[in-house]
Amino acid sequence: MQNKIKVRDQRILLVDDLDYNRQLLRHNLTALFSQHNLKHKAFSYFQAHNAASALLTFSQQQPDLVFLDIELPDGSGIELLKRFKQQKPDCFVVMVSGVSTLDNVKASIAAGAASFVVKPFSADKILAVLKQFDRYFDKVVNTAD
Amino acid sequence: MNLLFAEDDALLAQLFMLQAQSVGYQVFWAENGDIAVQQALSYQFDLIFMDVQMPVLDGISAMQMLRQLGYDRPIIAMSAEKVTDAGFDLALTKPLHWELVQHKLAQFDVIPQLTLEIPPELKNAYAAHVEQSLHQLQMLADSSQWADFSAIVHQLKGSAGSFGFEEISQLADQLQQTWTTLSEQQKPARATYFLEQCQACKIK
Repeated sequence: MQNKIKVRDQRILLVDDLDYNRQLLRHNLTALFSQHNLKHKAFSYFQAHNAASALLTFSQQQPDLVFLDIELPDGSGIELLKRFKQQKPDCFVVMVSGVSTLDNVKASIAAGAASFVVKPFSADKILAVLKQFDRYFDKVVNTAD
Repeated sequence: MNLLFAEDDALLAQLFMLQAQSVGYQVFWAENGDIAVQQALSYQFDLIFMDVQMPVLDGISAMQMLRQLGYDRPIIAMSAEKVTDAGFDLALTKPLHWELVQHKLAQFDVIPQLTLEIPPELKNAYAAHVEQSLHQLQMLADSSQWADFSAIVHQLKGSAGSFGFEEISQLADQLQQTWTTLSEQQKPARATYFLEQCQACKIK
């Protein structure tokens, strides 16, 4: 029986039309992963600035974790979320929005979002999502065994 | 300690706020489950008190929605009936007795707040982006290109707060909220007012 499994780097896709937002998110993800007692620490990052390029990058990279802005210049993040979940049902997608209305949150959950971050970003919001991802990924790995 | 008190009965909420504030707690009142969920997602509260029976979204659904979204901070149920739903950290029976509430509150800790790291070069680059955006907004306003104008305001609203420019975010939010109610004739003056307010903020 082969019981040595090579765990590959987690792949993270950041989708936001503003480059500065992606940089800020990436910087803080890296900082939080290293400071806190989280299991998954090795990552490859991919970025996309609109829906079209996000879809392409998603298909190529099959990321494990996605931060997806709801309001994209060329389409709705919720529609994109549905396509991601079709391609990779166990993908952990975090919706990001400046508008935290109940409708937005409900629509996100219904389309398969794992979490919802309200802008502006704060370290506490991001850390909560990472802890949730840690718990979720443990389950995915255990079920796969 | 920061508390979120979700309760549709305004009198009960006022009473709780008076009692809690008198011993140093900060309390934010949410009058239904919808507002409670939106507020909780700001991750500014150490503890949530959740009334079970509330309009728009009841307390159990609100708690379940938060838990589904990974919210892992304590939530206390308040109800006249027994609450057995999984996901609450504690259930208090209504009417609340302040001595008991205080005793229970002592079991919970303040959750240390983390600070977002903003590398100085990124902050400077973003500040330059804001100044450029304001310049662009001025030109769009001068030529009444309101669709493009609104798109940039929306982007500022969503991003400025993350980089420490909360004032710009708030001004953009206020503009967005009133914008759809304005007539074409009113828009230029409102846009000018917004740009003047933004210019008055310290960006550099």
